Amino acid sequence: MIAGPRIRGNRGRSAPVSRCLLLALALLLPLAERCAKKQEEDFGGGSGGINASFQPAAPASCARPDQLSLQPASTNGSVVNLNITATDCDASLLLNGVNFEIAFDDTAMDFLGCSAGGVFPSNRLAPGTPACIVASAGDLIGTVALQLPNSFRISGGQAILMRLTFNVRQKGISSPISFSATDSLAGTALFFADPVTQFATPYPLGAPMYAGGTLISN
Amino acid sequence: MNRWAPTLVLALCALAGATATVRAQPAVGSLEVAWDANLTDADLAGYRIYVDDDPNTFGLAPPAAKLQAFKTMDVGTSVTDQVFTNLDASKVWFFAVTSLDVSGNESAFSNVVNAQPGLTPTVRSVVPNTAVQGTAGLSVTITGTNFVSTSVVSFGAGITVVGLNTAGVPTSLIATINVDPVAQAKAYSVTVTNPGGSFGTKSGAFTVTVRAGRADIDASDRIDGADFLSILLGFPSVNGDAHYNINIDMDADGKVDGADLAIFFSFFGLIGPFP
Repeated sequence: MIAGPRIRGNRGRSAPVSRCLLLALALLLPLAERCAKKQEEDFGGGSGGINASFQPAAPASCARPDQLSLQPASTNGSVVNLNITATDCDASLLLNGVNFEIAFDDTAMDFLGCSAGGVFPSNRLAPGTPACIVASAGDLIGTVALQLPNSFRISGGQAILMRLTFNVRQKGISSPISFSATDSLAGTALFFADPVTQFATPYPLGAPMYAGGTLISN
Repeated sequence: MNRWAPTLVLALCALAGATATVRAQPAVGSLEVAWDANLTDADLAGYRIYVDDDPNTFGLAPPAAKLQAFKTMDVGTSVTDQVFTNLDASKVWFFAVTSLDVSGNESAFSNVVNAQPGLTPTVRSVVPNTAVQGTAGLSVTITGTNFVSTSVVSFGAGITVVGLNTAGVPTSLIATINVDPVAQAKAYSVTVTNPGGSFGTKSGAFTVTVRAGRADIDASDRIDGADFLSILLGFPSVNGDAHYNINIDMDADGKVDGADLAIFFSFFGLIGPFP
């Protein structure tokens, strides 16, 4: 019998102690510094016998135009952590946050939780965010934003906006995960509200490219 | 003598604002009597109020009536109304007023008025005790004591009583209510007022909660990030601010604050259509 991970609900705001951090403290001191600086959190532990991984549809690379993509973060058995990553190598985008809608096969995997990326410091986060919930079967929606009028630019070419955690249910799965309703504030879009007209309606910045990927288990 | 006699103008009204102590003595009540000031007699010394449950008392001359009356009370020239408490609620009480001058003379009676103290109602329970904003035609059963067929039920601003079934008096009333779509989400007191003004209130007896559809600000039939952005625009703000918007003030308390965001995210992800 396969033991399932501990389900923390769809809206992951708190997380168990990071396995990455524990491992780094015990074994890999150089890596510990990198892990400790990250705000993103992983949810749950993997189940025995399943080895899951994520294959991104596109790398987060400056060889490509600005994009919003899913990138692998870490895996632990059946549990896979993905990063929603924004790539903007010329730092041209001024951002308040991101709304996203992700389609996944809920017969193949469960959504466990989410956490905000380091570009959203907790003292400037819009209250209530990050928020992620499976609105309907296989339809994950979420949002994270800075409280207005705060904004940020991406430095170093790319930034992790959100971390998502999924649990793969069984072996032998190759299941796509993709952004849907792109360039829409009601779906997937980076957005910005002009601080000059601070309380004007935020507008979607979109991205030239959106890239999901495939969850694989064996 | 033929001195001017005051006129009772407000007739009689039961004392509003009965306390719990009064409610514990349902057999007694209060009445208030008021009269026009005497502006014609320069030597006016005050007024005398006569109270009795026998109307024949007022057929006597005032000095003689004083010996028969259940109660008399002398008040100064600046007083033009008086409350009488602990009156037997099972009786009809008659009132008249006379003027007194500095020489001790007394006028004839004013007009005689009468009333019966209303029993003070009590509100014990309200069922159902909750509704969402925008609910219409909800029947609410109020149980208690001393309700009468002419009782009036009120919930407070934002909730309108559109009908009242009094078949169950004196212990039950069924109010049909409409909750305003932007009624403040909070606990409301339910008050039953009897003719004459005596009333009973149960604090926090009825709670209005936020209608989920209010969080679907863009009416897209899904409560999602786009709706969140609408709230974010007005967070924080108070009524009167340029960026305050009642549509994003989920609990309609005049402030777009953390409570509204918490309410919003409690609905996040819901899919309509929303009523």
